[in-house]
Amino acid sequence: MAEVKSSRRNRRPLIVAAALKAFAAKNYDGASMADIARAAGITKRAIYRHFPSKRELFYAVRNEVYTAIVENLWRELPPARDFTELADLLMRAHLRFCEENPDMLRIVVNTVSEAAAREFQENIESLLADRAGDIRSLVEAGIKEGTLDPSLDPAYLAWVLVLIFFFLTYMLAFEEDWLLPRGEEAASVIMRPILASWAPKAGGGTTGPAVPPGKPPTRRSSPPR
Amino acid sequence: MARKRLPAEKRRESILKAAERCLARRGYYSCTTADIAAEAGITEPILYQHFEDKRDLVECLRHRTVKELSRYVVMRVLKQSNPLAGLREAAEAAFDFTRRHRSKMRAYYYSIPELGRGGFHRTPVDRLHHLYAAVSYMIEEAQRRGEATDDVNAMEFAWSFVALMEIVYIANALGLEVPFNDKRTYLDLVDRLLSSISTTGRIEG
Repeated sequence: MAEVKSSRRNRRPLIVAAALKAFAAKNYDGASMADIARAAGITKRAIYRHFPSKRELFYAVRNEVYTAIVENLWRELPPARDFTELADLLMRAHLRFCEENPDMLRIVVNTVSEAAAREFQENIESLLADRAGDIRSLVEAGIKEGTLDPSLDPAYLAWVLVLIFFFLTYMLAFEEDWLLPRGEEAASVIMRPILASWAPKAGGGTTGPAVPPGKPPTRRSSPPR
Repeated sequence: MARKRLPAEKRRESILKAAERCLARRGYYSCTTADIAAEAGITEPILYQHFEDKRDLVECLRHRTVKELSRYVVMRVLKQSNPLAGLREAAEAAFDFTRRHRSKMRAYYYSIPELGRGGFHRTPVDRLHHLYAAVSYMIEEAQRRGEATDDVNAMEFAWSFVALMEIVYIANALGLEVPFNDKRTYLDLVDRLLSSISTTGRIEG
């Protein structure tokens, strides 16, 4: 008796994995509960024991995907000499992960169309807000180390970065030739000018980026007067 | 009560408007053709006289949105005296458009996910391609006029600029409660990006 119960509980990840594949292949509309049950090797009834509706199952899949993406990025920060390099590395890691997990990429794009649902709205907002909070502290460190202009608003920059993550995910999902370098290099191409434009303005308006690419910025040893 | 017979063009338009409201409110998957017909005050068979299916209807709607958005942005860009000022204006115009037509842009983004299922929708992809091309031509023109530095790769820079424009649409489409409603801060970032390639270090005009 107890055994039956525990095996039932263990079916949840199995169902979510099967549903992830099905939703990615056929979209939300096209994937039926029967498809998912078949792929998981169980009955539709068994799925409904764990998830009251297809929508609930989709939410579980989406949470799984977002958690995986976030965990990939924040498991440990890559060593970097300054914020510019760190931001570049994080973007590249994100793109690499999306490329290696095309099913997950599909789910991310699919979820946007569900953003109208209130609970999703709140869910994604809190997810992104957490991420923006983390990025914000990195931005603040970047300002402290002198890589970013202190007149910039860290909270705002953090949101800009979160949304560029989204944008890159979208572009990747379209599988188009965007006239960009393939793969993670695309992240660097898009980020380089933006990050350079956030550098402290060296002695007023000069031409070109304030920080020459490839060279570490000089650390400010004393606060500017 | 007898429903008023509308000429085909007007009926199509009223269905598109209804679809826009429906999509913006409920998202793509939750919004059925029955919902759209009800919203337009017609029966489903009438809807199917004007559109093949939901995908056809949604693609028409997307096409219409992109046309409106592009016309609005281009009209404002044309009033500028130089390409870099034009690009700044384009970013501001995009911001203003999403503010004014929030549900339109929501409907547009909510309807994007139908990817790769037997000939997927072209409009969102084409729009990005066109936007990207226009931006890179403007940067090349600024370089030709000596207003942008030559060492900048116009094609690569164009993607950075497009990314900065696009996030405004995404934030608004998702309806995120983010600090993005602060237009001044946003335009300051746009200004910084463009100034970084300006030969004078700022945007003239």
